[in-house]
Amino acid sequence: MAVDDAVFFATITELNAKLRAKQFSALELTKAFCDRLERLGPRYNALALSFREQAIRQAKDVDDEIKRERFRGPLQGIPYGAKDLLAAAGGPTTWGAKPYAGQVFKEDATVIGKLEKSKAILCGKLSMVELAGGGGYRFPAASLQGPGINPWDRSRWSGGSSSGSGSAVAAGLVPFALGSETSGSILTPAAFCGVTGLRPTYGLVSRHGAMALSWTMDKIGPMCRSAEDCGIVLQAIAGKDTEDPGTAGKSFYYAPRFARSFADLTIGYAPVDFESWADETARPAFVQALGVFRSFGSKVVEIALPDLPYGPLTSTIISAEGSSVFEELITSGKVNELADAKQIAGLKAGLEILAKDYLRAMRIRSIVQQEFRKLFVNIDVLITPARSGIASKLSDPLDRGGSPASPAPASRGLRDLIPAGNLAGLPALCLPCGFVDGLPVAISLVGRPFSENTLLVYGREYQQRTDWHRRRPPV
Amino acid sequence: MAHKITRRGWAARLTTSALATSTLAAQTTTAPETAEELLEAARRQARRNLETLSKFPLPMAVEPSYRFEAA
Repeated sequence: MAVDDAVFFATITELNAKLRAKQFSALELTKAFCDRLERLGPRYNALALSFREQAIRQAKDVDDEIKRERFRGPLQGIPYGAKDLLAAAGGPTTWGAKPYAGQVFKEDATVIGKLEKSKAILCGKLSMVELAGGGGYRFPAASLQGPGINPWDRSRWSGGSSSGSGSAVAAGLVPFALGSETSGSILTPAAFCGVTGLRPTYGLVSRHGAMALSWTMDKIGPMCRSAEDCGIVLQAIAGKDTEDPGTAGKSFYYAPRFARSFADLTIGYAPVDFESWADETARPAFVQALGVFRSFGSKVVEIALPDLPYGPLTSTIISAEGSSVFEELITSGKVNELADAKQIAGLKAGLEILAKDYLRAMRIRSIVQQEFRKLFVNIDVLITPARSGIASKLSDPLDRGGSPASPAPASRGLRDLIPAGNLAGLPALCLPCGFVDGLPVAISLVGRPFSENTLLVYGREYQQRTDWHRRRPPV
Repeated sequence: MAHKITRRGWAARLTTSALATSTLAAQTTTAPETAEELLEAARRQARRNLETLSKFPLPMAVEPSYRFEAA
């Protein structure tokens, strides 16, 4: 049976049901997605490398198993893509950067291996901002594959640094993808591309085989069509790994049926986020989303972030760790082969950060963690716009923003929740919540460490009451 | 943990989220162009960050947010 267009936008659960019902084979599904990824991936600069041959071999194995009624779970036979920061044997892993264009690893990253055990099928590596943008970057074109192009509007950026993961899921090139976040790199492309993205708690998912940028902040997580799909993928990739000393030794079981009642939970939000910090055109969508969450019956209270220097902390820690990771690249001069001049400068400047300054940042970070522990005594979930508005234009420099004349709102609200949440290692879920000028906007939920099930239950309920995550771009 | 927020403090906070590359306002309106100018700008930004962090009161007992583990 032929794979029809609707299949490219189906969820993991829907695809798995069709595979079990033998509406199509894993081979047919895999070939269809590989064709689509190879045909449309370059249109969005989303594809770094096709894994067609390996994928077809794996799909044949899955079909043999299904023929023998040996069912492995919801990911069996489901195609996916992985950010090109993850090692996969059988092809180059470029980290989106010219100096690493020919780099080949002999073994898979732990998360790729875990998905293989779940019988998910890797169809391709997806593009990313070079070196995950660790030095800071000025233009969306800071990538070996070119600027990440947004499927909703090809003149707009897909977000970074998991650019290809965001646009590939949005355009129906893969049912789900793996991305990574050090400070915003899952949430931003998920928000800009209108997909559901989950940043797991620091330490829940192994980073073995992933490019390091910041040992104390890097996380790997899923980008999918729904919150439920994120839960399914997270369950497959989470868990302790002796190869990654940062793993927390915890597993994750997606168990919405055991979640606490919404009436027993408290949501924190800051009115200023919705009334002032958000772009004016996006405010109605954010307010409407907040209204849907209010209707769940949870207690909703006003809150603001603890007053701490999140931006300078994040910048100092990532800069110091990232420049240490790439010291050889910087001192050898090969750093000059990178595409973005600001990124080159940022990496070089990072090498000059003194140990005392890095340690000061890490000590203040301890206070960030303490303050969030206090905040989450009375609050279960924080809610705020994932980004203030829609994706920027491809031609716009990313370091030049709003008018300097416009006055800043009087309160910070939850404005800095991306750097703050990453510093504290908190999980976050990004949910599409509307459109402005034909481009998606999204809301984000943040919870205490290892509270992914709570976030996912809220996300699932929200997506049962809305259909923003079901919208398709004009591919 | 109450600290007074200065204008400079706000400005420093709003600049960075290095990876997500927020579209927040840059500190300067004229963007540096040459490699040297960009390096100098990156150094200035790093210094501004450190100035902000150096003003933060930090008791001696506060340890870094990671700890050595004997294994």
